[in-house]
Amino acid sequence: MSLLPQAALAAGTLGALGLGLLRRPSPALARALALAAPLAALLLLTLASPAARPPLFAADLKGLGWQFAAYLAALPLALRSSGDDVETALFLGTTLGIGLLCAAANLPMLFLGLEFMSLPAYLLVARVGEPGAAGRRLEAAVKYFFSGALAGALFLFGLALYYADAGTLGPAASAPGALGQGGLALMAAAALFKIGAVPLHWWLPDVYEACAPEVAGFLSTAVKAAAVLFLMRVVELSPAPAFAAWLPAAGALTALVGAVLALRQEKLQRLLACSSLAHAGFLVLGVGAWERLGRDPGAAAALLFYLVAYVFMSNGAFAFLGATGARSRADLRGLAARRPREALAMTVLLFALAGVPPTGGFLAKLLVFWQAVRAELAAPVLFGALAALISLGYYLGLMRDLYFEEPVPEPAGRAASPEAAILRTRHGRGDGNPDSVQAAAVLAVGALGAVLLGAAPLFIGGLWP
Amino acid sequence: MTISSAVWTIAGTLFALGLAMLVLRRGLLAMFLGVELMLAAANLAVVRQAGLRADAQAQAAVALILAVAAAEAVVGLSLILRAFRAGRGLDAGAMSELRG
Amino acid sequence: MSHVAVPLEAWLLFAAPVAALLIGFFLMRPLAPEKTHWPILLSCAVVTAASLSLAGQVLAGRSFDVNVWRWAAVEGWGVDFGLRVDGPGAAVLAMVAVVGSLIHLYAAGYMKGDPGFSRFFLVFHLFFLAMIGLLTANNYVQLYLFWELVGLASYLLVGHWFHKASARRAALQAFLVNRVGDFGFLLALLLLLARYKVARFHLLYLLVAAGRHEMLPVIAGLLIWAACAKSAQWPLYFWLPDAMEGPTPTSALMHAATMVTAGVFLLVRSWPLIAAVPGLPVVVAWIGAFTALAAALIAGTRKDLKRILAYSTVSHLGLMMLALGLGRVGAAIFHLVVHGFFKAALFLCAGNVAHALRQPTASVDEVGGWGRAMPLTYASFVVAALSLAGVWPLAGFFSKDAIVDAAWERGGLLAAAALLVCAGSAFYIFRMLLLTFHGARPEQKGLAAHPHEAGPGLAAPPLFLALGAAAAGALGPTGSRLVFSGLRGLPVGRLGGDLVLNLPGDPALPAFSWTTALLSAAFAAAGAAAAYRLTMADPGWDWRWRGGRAEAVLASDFGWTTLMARLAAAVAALAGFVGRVLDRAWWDGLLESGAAAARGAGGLAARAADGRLNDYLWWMTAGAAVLLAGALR
Repeated sequence: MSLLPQAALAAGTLGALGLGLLRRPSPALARALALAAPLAALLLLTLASPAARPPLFAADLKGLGWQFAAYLAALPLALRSSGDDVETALFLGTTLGIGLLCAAANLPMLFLGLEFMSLPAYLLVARVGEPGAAGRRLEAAVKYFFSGALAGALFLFGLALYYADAGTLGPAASAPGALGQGGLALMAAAALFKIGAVPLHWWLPDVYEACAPEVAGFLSTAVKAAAVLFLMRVVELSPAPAFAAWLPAAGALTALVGAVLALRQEKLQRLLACSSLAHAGFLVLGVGAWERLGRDPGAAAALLFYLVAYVFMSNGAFAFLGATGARSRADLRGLAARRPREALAMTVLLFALAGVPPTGGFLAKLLVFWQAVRAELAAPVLFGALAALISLGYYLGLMRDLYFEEPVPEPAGRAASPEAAILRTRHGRGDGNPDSVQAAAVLAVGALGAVLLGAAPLFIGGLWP
Repeated sequence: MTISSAVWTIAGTLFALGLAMLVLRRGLLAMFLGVELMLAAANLAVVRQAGLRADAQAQAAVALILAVAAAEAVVGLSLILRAFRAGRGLDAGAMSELRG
Repeated sequence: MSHVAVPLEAWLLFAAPVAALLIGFFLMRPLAPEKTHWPILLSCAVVTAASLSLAGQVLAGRSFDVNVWRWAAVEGWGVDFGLRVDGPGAAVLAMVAVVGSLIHLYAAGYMKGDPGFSRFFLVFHLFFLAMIGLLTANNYVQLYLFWELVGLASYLLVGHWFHKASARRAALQAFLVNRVGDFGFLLALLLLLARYKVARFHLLYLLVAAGRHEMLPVIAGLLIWAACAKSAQWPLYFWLPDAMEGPTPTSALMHAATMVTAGVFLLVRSWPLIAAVPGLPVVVAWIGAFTALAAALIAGTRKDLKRILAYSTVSHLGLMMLALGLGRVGAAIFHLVVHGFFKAALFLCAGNVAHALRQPTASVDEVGGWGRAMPLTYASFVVAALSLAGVWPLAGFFSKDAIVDAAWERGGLLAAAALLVCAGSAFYIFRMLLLTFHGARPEQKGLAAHPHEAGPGLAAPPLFLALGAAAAGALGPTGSRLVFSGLRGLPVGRLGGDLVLNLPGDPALPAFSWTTALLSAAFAAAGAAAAYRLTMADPGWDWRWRGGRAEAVLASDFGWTTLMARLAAAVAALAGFVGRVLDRAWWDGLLESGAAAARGAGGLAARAADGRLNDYLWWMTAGAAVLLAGALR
């Protein structure tokens, strides 16, 4: 398949790196590059046609669809980029890695894409954000790195086992033996790590909590989408992978764990991280259903729709944090009175995340659950529904905090006005905070998208001719 | 013992050792070494298989993987260096501010 | 499939109310709440014009059933938004539009000065929109959605004066009883989707006609259940009289002309399915006949004007059910349309009377001899009452005659019941007429001694409605052709009786039979005479039978409400027991422990995430090992 989008991103990455060679750093140029490269990739994607079948994968629109979702998910971070050339290069590098992953045709390419996506991401986590929190970010980045390294190593050993059994570094025509199944299982473990599925999820709350909100939004949408496709590719390697039987259970378990963890979080970013875990669980459940239905394209379409809806919902939710500077649930109290529009947008997003009709979030959950029901996965669906029910607890709780709770009174000695308190907790980029405008824009678009997707899922049919 | 089983034994042992170092050691550098060990072990296994099947593509893949491992080393070491410079020491156990 | 493009009028049917609601909510409500009704009245006019135009088109043979939009599609399963405008739908739609618009006009005058004026109009029009959607739906899912919306709007409207405890209770009761019915509808819908994989009406008609009858008895039974709840048939009728707590326009529109007829309409749409189950139509006929008779008798004993009319509505809905059960779908729809007119007129007249008393409703004890003081209202009432009693040449005669005719053909108890209903209807309506507008009571005090005609805004609409109730008879042939016309060229479904929906060509009105006409006229006359005798000739009679056992029996709907009250008390006692003894320990405890378990699980998970990297890696390795072992088994 055409690699033009990836080429555009590569050009962007190199360009951003080249900016460092300029005598005077130019934030405007870096920001423009950060925005232009994913947009160019999106445009070039429309030119790509699936007629050019990649040599070792079946006729595949998934790569294109997933790229679309991933580049779309990259736009908010591009919009909110700070203009630092290194950060821009890291961001574009991660996006390029995602593009490579989506276009991967065999195992080495898959590994390359995985690592290409992950390595800049580790550094992105460490780098982007306000100076005061650098220590926490570093800790998060270290945890992310080592967990990712373990996953990568497991993937490689799995690759070795699979290759030893199947004799090829691509899809095998016949089901592999025990050695091969073991290899596939290890490779799947790496994919599950990247998605954040139980029991390889430990890094996710810490990393999402510590990094800047816009980076968390990016990780939770673009990287997660790529990881889901990664898992699907591993499944596609053999006609009957044994590990796939565990996917629905792992998905349901992840959803449950994410939901119960989120219930007790006081810090908003960690709460959203655990909620992201829950959504990852639904996605893994969906992949399990897709496999059980014989890799049904309709099921894959449902997954893609979920991911696109999630792009809007998650980016919007994290943008809310950036736009209002709220850090904890206590910060939310009384916020609806002070910032009614942001609160309204967040409410819409919370409804969408919870899966309340008529939002896109509801439709996405419905479609994925419907696939799981079709695949006769009764118990995972039930547990998934339980997780969704539990998740209502914290989503509604956040709404309650926004609208029905009084602000916590300021202790003496601090600035009296709530505005000052909010300003203090924002990214320390100076007064007036240019980021808040972009964050508000992402918030608004996220809320709109989350709602509109509920009304127009027409492209599901269109994506699969 | 055939060459293949010897290679598998060595690779497996190295991998297990690396895994043990990663999981059980607390020093960041030691953990990192464990990662490298695991990558090398996997590479070894792939090389053996590629040679067995005279698969040029797989051997090229090994080269690719080596390059990626090197890049990973760069990133990892830079993070470790930053941690050291920030005065956080190199103890993974001490890095537990993010929890819950 | 019809190749007709969706005409503009069909779009206007929806666009106008939506636009009016948006303007009303976003512009009028904050800026000029007392003028909220302007865009809404305009929208009513547009809708009326559109629906009459559509009715004309259907008469000319241009009915259609098209899917407009697929709003959700996954493999093998899709939910569509579509429009179906055929004979039954267009006829009822035209009635709803005309009657609804006139009632909107009436409400502008009636609700003036009410603090919730703006809110009332918005919800009222939302109801109107929901009703339009219900009548034009072309599949069960869409119908169900609008059905629910109608129920929601009715809850909001009945409870409009929410500061009154009785209104709140009535609203809640209406809502809950409807929920019970809706549950049946939902089950039926799910069964339909599961077994037949389609929700669209004409596809289902085809499937059923081709012999697919799986689970049809259950599905049809559930649909009948839902219709009984919505159309206040026994045993789910008791919410309707209590729903009179809402403002008069609400009662007029919803509980006379439109919402309650939604149940009948559902059965009309489902008739091919119901008719395919042997023995089920007869059940419907019996439910209808029984309810009609019982309600007619009870109506004759009530004192509150609106409650008399509520029971009358129940009775007439029963007649419609009877007609359906006997296979005369066209007759049922015809009566539905005509009933809408005269019942709405009667309600608005009752509203005028109450308005003159400055009360939300009036009792026959408080009024009397007002005919001279309120000539317009009196005239409207008389015409509407005569139509209700089935006096020739008003429309009510033709519609009721069609039903009596069907029952007579059937013979037996059903025929007797139909004739007795004729008598009963005449009785209660003449009783109400005579007690309100004739005679005088020495008890009249205060305002009641000097009633005056309501303003033109309140007097005109019932007049027009009454004229409609009369004229529909003059329009007889055309009107019945509209009602009886079906979709041309679309697949057919077989039914019993004289009417086959979707039949090419158009079946004529059932032949007029002198026997039944004279018989029903005789019974009606007997009823009217009895009313005269018992109210005017012997003025004290209306009090004398009160206080006795007879009144107790009738006041409790032949013991039914007492039974329901005892049943409700028993359930409440049981719930109380469960609540007191078991709730704290059991259900509450269950919920609490569920929540605590979730929190505890979270705590466990959180404690496991202790922030130590090595622990994370250890768990990851263990997990990977489990996955590996699982794959190797």
